[in-house]
Amino acid sequence: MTDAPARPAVADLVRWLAECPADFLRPPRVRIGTHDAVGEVVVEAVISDVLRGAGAAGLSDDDAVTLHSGLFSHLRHPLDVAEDGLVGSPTNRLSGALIGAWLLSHPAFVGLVDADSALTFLSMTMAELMKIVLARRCVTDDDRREEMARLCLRDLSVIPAGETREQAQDRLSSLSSVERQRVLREMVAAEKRAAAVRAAMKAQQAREAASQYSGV
Amino acid sequence: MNEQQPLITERGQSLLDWIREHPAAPHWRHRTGDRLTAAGREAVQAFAQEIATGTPGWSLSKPPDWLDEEVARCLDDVPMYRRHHVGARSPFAAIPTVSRDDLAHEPWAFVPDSADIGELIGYATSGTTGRPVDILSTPTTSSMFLPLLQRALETRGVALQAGDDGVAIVRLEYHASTYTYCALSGYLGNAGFARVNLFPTEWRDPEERSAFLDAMDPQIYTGNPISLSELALLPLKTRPRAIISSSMMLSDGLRTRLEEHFACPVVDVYATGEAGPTAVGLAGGEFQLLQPRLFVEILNPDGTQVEPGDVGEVTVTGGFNPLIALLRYRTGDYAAIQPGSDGVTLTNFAGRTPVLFVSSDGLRINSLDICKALRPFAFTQHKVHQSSDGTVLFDIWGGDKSDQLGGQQALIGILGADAAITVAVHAANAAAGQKVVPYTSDITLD
Repeated sequence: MTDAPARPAVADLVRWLAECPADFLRPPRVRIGTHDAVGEVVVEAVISDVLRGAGAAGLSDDDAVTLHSGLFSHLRHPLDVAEDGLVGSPTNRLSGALIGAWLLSHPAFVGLVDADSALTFLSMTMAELMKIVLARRCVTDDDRREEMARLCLRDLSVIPAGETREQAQDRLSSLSSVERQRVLREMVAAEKRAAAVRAAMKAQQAREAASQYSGV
Repeated sequence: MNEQQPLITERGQSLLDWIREHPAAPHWRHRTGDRLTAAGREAVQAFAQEIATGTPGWSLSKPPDWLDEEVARCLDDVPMYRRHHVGARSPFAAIPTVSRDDLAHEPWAFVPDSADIGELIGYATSGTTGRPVDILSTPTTSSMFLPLLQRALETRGVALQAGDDGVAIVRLEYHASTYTYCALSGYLGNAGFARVNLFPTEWRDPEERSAFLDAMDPQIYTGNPISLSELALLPLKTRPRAIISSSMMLSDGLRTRLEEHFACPVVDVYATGEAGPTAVGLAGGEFQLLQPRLFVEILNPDGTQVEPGDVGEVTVTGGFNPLIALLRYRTGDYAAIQPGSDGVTLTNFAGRTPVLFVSSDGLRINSLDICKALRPFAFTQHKVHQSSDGTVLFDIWGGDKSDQLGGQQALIGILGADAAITVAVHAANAAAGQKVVPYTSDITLD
């Protein structure tokens, strides 16, 4: 009988995310219907490799279907992919899954990963997180790295090294709520500003524009 | 204070009244001024100084020094680019590009949070390339066109002088209808300016066009190949110091003909509504960049830079309009870039070819007027072609019966009741995947 694997420390995972290789940040490859595929990284292949590396089985056909319905849903047309980089866009979701796959490739996860939990993390949890966070911020921003690392541990039912279950839950919920409030505040401010510019545009239509000396 | 002309003087007012009330004046369709305040004039003068002393300061191998700072500002302060969140340290080439469609859809998302919108003005661009866009600007920004035009004129040794004793610029249009007005330029010491439509029906008597322009005797005409070739048909007695052509491609043939006819330099300026006057044509088809703080890239559709000398989409970063932050903005215009004496030059401009039609009563028609007339109708695509014998083929893809009939009526409205128009209606998807060029003509300007 072998010893249970050591529990990973959050700080190690956060550092690992900060070192995410550029390959995982490249545009994910997407094919919709009969349209030509766009993007570079084949998300399913990366995830399958990571799962095998962590000692779990690779993706079965059923898993691939699950992954697809979670990650690739709402993609109907290649133009959707053109929203690249926007919060909540399909490509942001896929980029989040790729960064999640990099996280799961941390050596501390070997023996801790089962395919079902990993797929829940990569498709459902990432789809939720990527509605309000840009995928790249899970690499560049300290708090978002920690949030992603803790979400991953939660989905795999692993309590971080040096913490109790309650401490881990508290820390995760505070990280998430701070971020949600920040996003909400930003959205309200952005909408206020856009409304002010629109009002100024409307007001100036009633006024007269200024001289334009040449055509453009 | 005079809100339209904050810097007006008594002499300026007399000049303005004289232009407006001239017996041969056209119908003025609009009333406005430069709205330039004393603070605005100082800003334009400082900009002129920067243009006079600065050079672009970058080359194909060395991006401008200010680029990193500008990128950081856009990613932090401008809603459109905050969404990208690529991180200030990410390579410039990895920043997603934006396009005219983005600007048309959400002009407010290009306005920096820190920008003062109290002086906001807006005007619609003609949509020579792609769809028309509302351009947000300020009176100061509009007046900053002047030192850029002065720099363009200097390449041919022509100076644009300030002073309230005459008209500096007459801007010529040629449209079935467009707004026209006269004003003063505070930056040019209350010199006169008029925007004039040479379309015959916009005058009490079309014969008066020459009399009015001779009376104005402007230092400079600005216009486009269509309005300037109309100008060349008038029996003018006066001659300008120079002519500036913009908005559309100016052929070498037309430039030579205009230069011979008016015995003055004809300066070709490449300008966009978003970035303003950007480059001036030199001999040999090269264009020299005009602005000290505008970075130009030539891109493939996938956002990578083309090889020097290859044609791609002109994409700009920077500029001088405080209400449109440009970060890798695709202009919809195509050209090549190559090393030049001032860092780089642009060559091989493609597109924006002027297209001219002729109505059944012999009137020249600007294709933009047809574009405007057909805009209300919901075709998937359409194409209007006029042969050299005057016959017109109107191809329509999609739309319902009322669109198709309405489109034909609108075209007859522009080209005249006796125009020989053949209409061909096709299924909405019959041209799917093909690029239909909507306006073509065998009628030439020369």
